[in-house]
Amino acid sequence: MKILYINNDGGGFAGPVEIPAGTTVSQLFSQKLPGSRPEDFLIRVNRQPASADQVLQEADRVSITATKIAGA
Amino acid sequence: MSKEHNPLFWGAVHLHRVLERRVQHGLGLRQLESSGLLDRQQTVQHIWDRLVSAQSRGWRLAAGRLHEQLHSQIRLLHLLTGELLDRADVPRPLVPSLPELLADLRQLADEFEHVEVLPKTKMLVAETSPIELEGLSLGRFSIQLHLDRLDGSLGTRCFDCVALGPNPAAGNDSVTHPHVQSKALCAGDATVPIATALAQGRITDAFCLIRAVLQTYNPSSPYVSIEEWDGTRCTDCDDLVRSDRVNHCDGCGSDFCDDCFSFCDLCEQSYCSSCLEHDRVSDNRCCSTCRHTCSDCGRTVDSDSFNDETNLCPGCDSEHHEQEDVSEPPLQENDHDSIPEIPDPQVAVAA
Repeated sequence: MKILYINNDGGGFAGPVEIPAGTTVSQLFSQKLPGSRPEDFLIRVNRQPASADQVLQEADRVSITATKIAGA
Repeated sequence: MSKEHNPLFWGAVHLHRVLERRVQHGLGLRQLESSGLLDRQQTVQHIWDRLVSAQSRGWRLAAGRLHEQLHSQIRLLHLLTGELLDRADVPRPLVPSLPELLADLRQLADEFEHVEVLPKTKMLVAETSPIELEGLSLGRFSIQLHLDRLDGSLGTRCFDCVALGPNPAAGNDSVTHPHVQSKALCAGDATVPIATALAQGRITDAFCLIRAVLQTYNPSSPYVSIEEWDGTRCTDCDDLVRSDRVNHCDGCGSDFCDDCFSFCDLCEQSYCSSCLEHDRVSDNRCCSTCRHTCSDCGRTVDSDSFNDETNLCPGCDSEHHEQEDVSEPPLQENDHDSIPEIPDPQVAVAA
């Protein structure tokens, strides 16, 4: 199934991605940002806070934004 | 509340107009480039017509030149066509729909404690929680998106970061955060994602990215480091000195307070007291460039008094000359001017 995935890390990616049905928020996070801690990010599903075990649905909008970013 | 009087709705409509205008502007440029392509094609046609004419009249020299021009123009036409085809493959940024933008602004109101839409000043404003970095309290910040600035280049310049209860750096009132000077945020790693979020109409993401930078201290490149926020420590007495009152020693490169700082009496360059030596005779304080040591008595001598040829202080130098005068016989310039030797009378009698 397809979801809209927005990763505000790095260059700032936003686009549709294909994921297996039944994927949870936690699984998507581990897959997209391996080695990172979820508590360091704002994770929103359809613009709302989401729990780690929330199962993603077709066409969900998932955004991941770091809560701390180094300025210059 | 009607849509017209709902500030969030006004914000969404205004954003939609600005973003749509940007996309249309991009399309206009593309059309301009396309018309350049047509001009080039007409040039090729014109040269072709002249070439045919020259060949039909047997003007071999002219035909040769036109043949070269034709090749050159066709090559340019080929390049231009390729570029346009490449650009056509790049997907155009889509303008989010009005409901999407409205949803985005509603999310903004959820993410921040206080959000305001100010139609008169054309601003979207979100207030952060109090910011504290490594024990330094900087207070709340108002992140202000100026909608008018979205017509220019998208990025952190579209925003102002205003300290609501400012605790600026001791030496620079315009620095209200290690990464904010004159309300402008130096976004570092967030620069590109902020620009991308704005271009895609993800306004809340852009605000959240700015807040993430405000919540972070990067010790490698602040305007003013946290260590020096309240001032700089004097290397000599360890007192805190406001950054704009700090004296920098040209000799050792360290910072000093007014009390521990001085200058060379000869060259008038700034130095700390440790980098100056006192010439007790001339009473001058001298830097390393303007002082010497007498090779005889070891006295520190200012360079105005020092004799470079003898490496001596004035005192040792004059003593040295006196000794030379005693030991050397007087010069005899000629026999007539010299005083004749008077024979010792006793010796003369004995002889």
